Amino acid sequence: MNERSRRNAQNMGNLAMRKLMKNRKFMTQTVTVALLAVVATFQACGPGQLNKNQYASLDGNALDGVNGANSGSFIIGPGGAMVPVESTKTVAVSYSENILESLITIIGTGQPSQRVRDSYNRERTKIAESGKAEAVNAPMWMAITNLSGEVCWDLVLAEKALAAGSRRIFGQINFAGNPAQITDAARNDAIRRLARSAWARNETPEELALIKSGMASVPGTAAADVDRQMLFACTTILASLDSHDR
Amino acid sequence: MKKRTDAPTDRLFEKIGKIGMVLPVAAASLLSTGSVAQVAGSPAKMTLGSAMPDPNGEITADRQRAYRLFKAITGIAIAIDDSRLAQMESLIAAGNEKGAAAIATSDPSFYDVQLRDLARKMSVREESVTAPLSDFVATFVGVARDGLDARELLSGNFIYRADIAKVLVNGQGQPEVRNDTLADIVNSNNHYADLQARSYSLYSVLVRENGQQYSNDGETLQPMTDAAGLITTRQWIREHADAGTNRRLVEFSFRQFMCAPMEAWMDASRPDDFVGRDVDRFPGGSHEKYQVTCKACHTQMDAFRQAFAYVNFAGGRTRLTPGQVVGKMNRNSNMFPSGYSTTNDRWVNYATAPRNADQFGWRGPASGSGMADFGRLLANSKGFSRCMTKRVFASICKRAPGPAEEAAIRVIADQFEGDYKLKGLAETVAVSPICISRE
Repeated sequence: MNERSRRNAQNMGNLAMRKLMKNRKFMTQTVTVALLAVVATFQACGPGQLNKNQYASLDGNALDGVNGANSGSFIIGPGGAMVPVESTKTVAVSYSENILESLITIIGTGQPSQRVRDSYNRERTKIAESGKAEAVNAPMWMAITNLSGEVCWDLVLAEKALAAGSRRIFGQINFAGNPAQITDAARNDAIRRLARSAWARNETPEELALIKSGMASVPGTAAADVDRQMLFACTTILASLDSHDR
Repeated sequence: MKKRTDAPTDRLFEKIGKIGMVLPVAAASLLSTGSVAQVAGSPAKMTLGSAMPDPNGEITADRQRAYRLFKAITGIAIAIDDSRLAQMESLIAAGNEKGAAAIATSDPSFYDVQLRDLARKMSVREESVTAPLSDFVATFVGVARDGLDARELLSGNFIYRADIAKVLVNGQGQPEVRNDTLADIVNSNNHYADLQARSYSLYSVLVRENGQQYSNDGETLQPMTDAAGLITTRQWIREHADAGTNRRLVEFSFRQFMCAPMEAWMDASRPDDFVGRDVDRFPGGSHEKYQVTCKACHTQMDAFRQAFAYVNFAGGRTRLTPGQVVGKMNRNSNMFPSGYSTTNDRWVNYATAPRNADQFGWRGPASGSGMADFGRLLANSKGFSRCMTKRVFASICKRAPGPAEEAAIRVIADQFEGDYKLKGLAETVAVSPICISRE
């Protein structure tokens, strides 16, 4: 696919996502692209679970002791001793300067391709540089999603070129076959490996079902559509919040 | 309008609604065919990888703790099955969290990502993590990597640059970065810009070069006779001595190395005998305003400013004129002709009233000459070690320490002063109970 059609693909993907977000109507885009939309679920990130009293967000103020430094995750115990509050954590996310290194480490390809570097250079200005949780917004996450997609394409291409036994993620996937030949166990295995790489945990049953459902919605029956299904699974996981929780 | 439930995407959202999930994350793009443009392989470039995932491996609480420690210290994520985490898990299980943290601080990412970005923020006025790689950043990272005494950050007479043998195209042949000392380091930032553009690992390629240099004419290299570590790097001088009156050099030295912006150490009670002639003593016709507002900053700042009497940044390079005060030190002298006129680089520390004495914990002479003495004054203070502790804390723990944590910061800073190694400081901070959640 040339640069122009690839850009078109991305633009269509973004447009589709906006529409999905807006009215959740089914899209009938059948370009050469997989239109992907998925949701990842994250423990401790559900509505109402973020409690200001329990969570301390990254404070970007200067370290001056003057401008309202963060309250921190501790209480003062007997005798003035600081006692950490066990149920609290600081919420921060990837920022523009470490996100590429993180994604590359997760997929384990060593170094990004030039295409990924180009994508990073395009998208980085939309990604907050502070890492503050409150800096997250829709354009930022679309940029992260686009970048994740490019990184995942590196992964698919790299692993396709390897013998099945040498692959980190797609060891049970037959890239020469068609999507119908991918067994349920093979999908589960790929998703599990991606989850352990990116989320540092196993996927939940709900997450597994959602991702597999999304994979099944990728149209096409050719061998290239196997690539797209794997691309879908990888992008879904890499672009999710749990992959960027710092 | 009737909702179409036969569409896959609608089914997805239906499921979302059912299980109350949030944060729908897109997945977009891509592509059909195309080949990955291969990046020239080189061991000196950042190579990022993780171990083969084990789909059935148990994830213990200690492994999760190891994961959080590693991620916080290095600034990047890592697969839960990575062998580095396995080592850290064993150490944590044995009660040796500091040892576990040491595995993370030995990882190149700690230098190539975490410390690099910490230094980038310190290197520019905007305090932006997107600041370019520079001699300032490289020297900061190099000092940490080599386990040097962190006080040398403000007193050393060296910089870090790339070892030319490690930046050759495909590991052989021509250098991949511009490497001429005069043209690419003293007169410009080309050397470091190339290192950044080509994604070299600072951890792998940096080498210390003793003897900082400058050039007044842009053609001849001269030894920096008044070196003060980061304070006399090209980047720092460019950022703070370009135009202005060299007060910014004082202001930002305190801001970055003592974590004290001007408002945190202003003090109108100090003498104003060093306040320059360019400062209006009757702003808006009010001498009281000068006494209460202007003087509070200028009394201490101008007394320190003399340290930079001979330095300037012009034409893209640092200029040094030992014994000859640069013109901008005495500009606008008609504003208040009875003010102080700089004649040499002798400075005085007026930040010694009780509040600032406690804040900075001075352990050096109350006066000195030039930038090197100034750098040593800061480096030897308690304020410097506390500030480094706060900066490392903010980088690793992802938040600034709160006022009530000041006591803990001081304890950690005291430990840091045992050997002044930034690597050890990062380990101590990371395993402190106030840093990373144990959930």
